[in-house]
This record gives sequence, C-alpha cells and structure tokens, in this order.
Amino acid sequence: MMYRYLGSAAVLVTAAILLAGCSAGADTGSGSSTEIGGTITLWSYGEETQSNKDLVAGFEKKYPGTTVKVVEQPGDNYFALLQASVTSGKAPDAFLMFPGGYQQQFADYSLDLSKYINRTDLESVNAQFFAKDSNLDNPVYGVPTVSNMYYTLYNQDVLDAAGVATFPTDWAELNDACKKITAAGYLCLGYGNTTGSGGFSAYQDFSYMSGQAVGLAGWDGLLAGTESYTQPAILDQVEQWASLETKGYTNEDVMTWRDVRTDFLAGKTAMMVTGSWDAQWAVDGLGDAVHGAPAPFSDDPIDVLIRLQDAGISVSVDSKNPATAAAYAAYNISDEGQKIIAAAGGVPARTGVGSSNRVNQEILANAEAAGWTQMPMYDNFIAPSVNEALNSGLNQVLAGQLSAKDALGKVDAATKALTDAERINYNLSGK
Amino acid sequence: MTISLRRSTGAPVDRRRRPRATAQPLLRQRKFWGVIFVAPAITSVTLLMIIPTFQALYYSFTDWNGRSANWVGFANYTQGVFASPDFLRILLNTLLIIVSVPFGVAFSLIIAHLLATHTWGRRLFRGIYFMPIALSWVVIGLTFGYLLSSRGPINDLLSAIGLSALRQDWLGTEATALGSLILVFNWAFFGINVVLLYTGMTTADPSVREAAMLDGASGWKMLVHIVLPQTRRYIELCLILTMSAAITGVFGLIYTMTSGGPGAATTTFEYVLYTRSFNLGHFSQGAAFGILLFLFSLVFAVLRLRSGVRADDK
Repeated sequence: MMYRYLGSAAVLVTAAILLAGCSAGADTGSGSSTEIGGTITLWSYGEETQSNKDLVAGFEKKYPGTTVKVVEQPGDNYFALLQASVTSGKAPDAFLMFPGGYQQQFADYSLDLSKYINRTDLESVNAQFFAKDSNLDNPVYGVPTVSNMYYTLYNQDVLDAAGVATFPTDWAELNDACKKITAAGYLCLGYGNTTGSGGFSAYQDFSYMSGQAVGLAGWDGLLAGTESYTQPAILDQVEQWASLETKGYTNEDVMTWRDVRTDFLAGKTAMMVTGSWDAQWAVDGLGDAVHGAPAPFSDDPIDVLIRLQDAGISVSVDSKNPATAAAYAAYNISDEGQKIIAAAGGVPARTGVGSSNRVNQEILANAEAAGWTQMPMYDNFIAPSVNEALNSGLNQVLAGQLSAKDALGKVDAATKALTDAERINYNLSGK
Repeated sequence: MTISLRRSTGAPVDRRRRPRATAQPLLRQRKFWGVIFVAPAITSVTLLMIIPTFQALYYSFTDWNGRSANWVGFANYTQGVFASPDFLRILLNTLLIIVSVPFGVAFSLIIAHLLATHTWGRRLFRGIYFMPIALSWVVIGLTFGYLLSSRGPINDLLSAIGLSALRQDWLGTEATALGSLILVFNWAFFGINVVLLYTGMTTADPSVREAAMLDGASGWKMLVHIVLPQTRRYIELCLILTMSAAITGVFGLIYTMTSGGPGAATTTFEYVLYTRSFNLGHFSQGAAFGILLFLFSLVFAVLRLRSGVRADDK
C-alpha cells in the first residue's frame, strides 16, 4: 500500500516540478508601484547608442536608487524576440519601439503612458503616432525620443573626382551624375545588407518615390486600400528606380552585398540610401567629405524630406515597476533628455532642439531654408505583412528578377488581405 | 544429455492458475517501479509534446495573438494558409528539400562504399567527411552565405578556371537560391551519413561478401545485391535522420543564408511558421502552418514505416 502512495506521490511531484518549470516567470502582475526607484530592464534595438548611455546615466543621477539595465537585442531579429517575450509574459519593463504599424503589433502589451506623462509633453514630441488611432485623446502606447530621417549619404570627394559639382535633385540629374561617376570607376549607388541575407531596406527608397509621386493624401488611399500601388505615378517612379540597376549605376548583388558600408567609407561608392542614425558613423569615417540629401527620386527637383518622430520607448503592461519605466520614458522626452540626445548627435523628437551632428544639422537647416515638405516614413504606417511584400518585391525589382508592376501588384494583394483590425486609418494627410 | 529448461508437467498450461502467493507481489512491485521509471518520461512527453500539439491545433482555429483567442473556424487555413499567394511555392520548396534527401543519402552511400572497400586514406577521409557534423547550422549558414555570395570564393574559383559565365549571385537569384540551399543542407548531413553507412558496411557479416566474391560478384553487382541489403537498416536510419531535419530542422540555414528569399524562393513551411508568428505577429496562422507541417511529417513517417514493414515481410 505504501508503495502505491509513494508511486502516486512521485508522479505528482514530477508533474508538479515540470509544471512549476513551465510556469516559472509567467507571473503577469501588472504592478501597482507608483514610486520611482529600483531596477528596470530596457531592450535596445541593436547596439546601445551613446545617447541612450547618456540618458541612462542622467536618469539614474536624477532619480537616485534607480538602475536601468540595458539589454542589447539584435536589430534584424528585434521584433521577433520582443513578440516572443511579450506573449510569454516575460517582457522587459521598457523597450524601444517605432510608431505606426510596428507599434500596433504591441499595443496590447504596452502601457498607456498618457496616465504617466502630461499631455503637453506628449504633444511636444508628436506622440500621436504611438496613440490609438493616431489620437492623443486615446491611450498612448509609447513616446518618440528621436526624430529620424531617411536620406542619401554621399561622398563629395567621389562626386568631385567624377566631375559632379552638386548632388542631383531629380531623375535626370541622378542619371547624369551616375553616368559620370560610373565612368570614373566608382559605384554610384550602393545597396546591400551587412548580414548578406534578407535584402536591403527598400522601404526607405519607396518612401521617397511614393511620397513625391502621390503625397500624403495618396498614402492615405494606399493604406486604406482605396488606391492601387500600381497606379501610373508610382509605377513610373519604381520603373525609373529599377532602371538604375540595368544601367549599371547600382551593384548587381543588391540582395546579398555585405560590404556596402565598407565600400562607402573606402571611397569606392558615391552614395547610399540610409538614415540619420548613420550620420555619426559616416562623419567618423569620412569627415567633411560626407553629406546628406533627400533621395533624388523625382521628375521635378525633390522637395520632400522623409522625417518622423520615430524611435521611442514603450512600457510593458507586465512591468513590475511601471512607474519607474514610465518615468524613464518621460525623462527621454523632457528638455534635459532631449538635449542629451542632441549632444550625442541624434535628432531629438522635440521640435526646436537641434542636432550636434553636422550632417543631420545640415539637412535640417536645408529643409527649413528650402521649405521641403516633411513626410513620415511610409513603412511605419503599413501592416507588417504589407511591409514584407513591399520590401521583398522591391528588392527583386532592383535585382532585375521581378517587374515593377508585378511587385507592386503583390503589395496590393497583401493590402487587400488585411483584416479590419489590421488596417488602420492614420489619416496622414489630416483630411 | 540435454537439459530442458522448460517446466513441463505434462498437462496443458492453465495461464489463469498461477501461484498467486509469490508471483503477485513481485508483479505488483515490477509494475510499481515501471510506473515510477516511466512517469517522468510520460509527464514530459505529455506536457511538452502532446498538450502543445493539441494546443496548436486549437489555436489554429482561433485568432490567437499570443494571449487571447477567439474561435474563427477555418479562417486561418482558408485565408492565412491556402489563400497565401506564396503557398504553392512554399509547398514546392518544402517538397524539393525532402525529395533531395534520397539523392544526398545515395551519394553518401557511394562514398561510404568506397571508403569501406579501399583502405588508403580511410581514416583521413572519414575524419574530413565527419567534420561538418561538429558545426552548428548557424556557422554552416554564415560560412556558405559568404562562400556563395556574388563576390565570394566560389565565384572567384569559377573565374579562375575560366568559367566566368557561370558566376552567379547564388543566394540572391531566384533560380539558384533553393538549389544552393539544398546542396548545403545535404552537405551538412553528408558526413554523419557516410560514417553511419560506413559503420554498417564494416560491421556486416563478411562471410556473405566473401561468398559473393567467390561466386564472381564485384563492383555494381556487389553493391546492389550484397552491400545494400546488408546495410538496409543503416540506410533507413540515415533517411529518417536527414528527412526529419529536412522537414523541421532547416530553419537555421534559411535564416542565416537567405531569410526565405529572394521573394519566397527559399521559404519552407518551417520558416513561414516562424515569420508568420514572430515577424508578423499572426500566431494563429503560425499555428495553422505548424499543424500542416505536422501532417506533412506524419505522411512521410507513415510512408517510411509502411515501406519498412513491407521490406521486413520479404
């Protein structure tokens, strides 16, 4: 009899141990602490930036007894890791987030920061794209800390060597410049990805191509599915872009080239489409020779700058220390925090705070002087499945594997396949 | 004199009439300890395999977002899986990787046979062939990603031997990406398969081979009629191991070499399960692909089991 009890007990103990193992850490208490203090964990997107290091130091100094533990997560797998983390209830207290469609995926797991940060501060950094339905009257699931830009970095020394006096501003000038640059033995526009797989970030190029072609109202139509990606204005832009590869103005291996950055710094590549986060890296490598300008993907001189109050911070609903995590987010968008970002070379989200980085400050000044239309990053406002179709298709277009019409048709199909819950009207044009 | 170990009473054995007083406590004890010893395994399998499989089946009929789930019927299958414009391509890719396995194993068999029949350099080559098995998928993927890149050593080699026309962006071109991936996958299993088959050949009863040789068998005849039947179990083992990996273990290679592209040229069920769940946040569609992958594995497992049974019946 004793053996039977022992046997049953052993089975129960084994099951209990396994169950305990399965449920360990699954405590999803929302936390009720209102005091600022203790330790919070913050996930950074890729390597931690200097500005974040300075922000953490500033925050810990301002709130003695607090510690921000930063965990660097790889950028190319960031959202997958975050998704796994939040769904298993093991999310970090705070995590880097991008507004729009990126944030939308994590809305259910993000704390409403409007309960912790006052409305004026939220408005000052244009936090509406982190809010439900882009409206600050609704829950706000994050705050943008920096304002990022997509643009073309170019090496003026290479342009000079090829006899190109000024950076091109439209397709005709771009083709002319690339002809000279290629003839001089340089690569005109470099495309690639440091990991060698997954292709390049074509949505940056598309933001310029489509922004110039159809404007914000057109974007609203594309997002809503009422306008087609294959409309002539966009199709023509993408076809002209694709012709850069057939003319030999880009590298052939656009999907797998790992050395685009190395070649750019080595002075072998004249231009690359990237963003403001690369400005410091480029200045460190090329000094005064490097500059930035809007991608000249336009029939008329380009007058659009892609800029958005972009990378920000969200706080997990599962945070055990939400007050401190929210205080860290608030500190990032405070005057003090924004100045720290500016001093580290970033472009602060708060309007009127400049950047200490020469390239970024130069382009901001040019935008103001020339009155460029500022448009947000298109990829932020499309559903992840549409973004995937767009990026994958455009990669194949520039690699010469797919026609522009077929690629854009796939984006239309992906847009049509969205459910009502996935399709969000951001009303970018304000109409 | 022979001693019979059977206890014969001369009367038919009545299995119901056993000496209870001594046997039953012993049987009970054996049952008890049997239960004790298998309990952890049964609990683990139940908690980690059976329950999750049924959970995945349930979630594939819901709009599960990782936390909450509402019943949506077959929507994930009809809209998320079968209506996907890339579904047929993904199915084809998965099938092609699986179909490549017998060819990879056949090549391993030939090399193992050569190693078993030629003594020169046997140890050296065996070591070289076995080396890839010590490498992780990520290392293999990253290495071949570099080797096969448009500016990589393989293209340089082609140019050096006058075959510049064959230079390709092997992983960035739709026509060659899957083929390259399949070759790398089979290469990764080549070593373990060669070693397994070699072991099978060298541990087989040598008298059968010697008798065949005396009867004049050699070369191809020897391989087909003697070696293959003798190593059938080992070949089956290689096929099972490699096919299992082809269905559920090729993710690491795809992730590091192509990320499923160009387009969907190298996307498989296993890879799309991951991207739907974690890149797009469609966990329920990921679960639907998981169920499909499970059924896919089941079909191949049943086919293999049935073919094994038929071979045993012969």
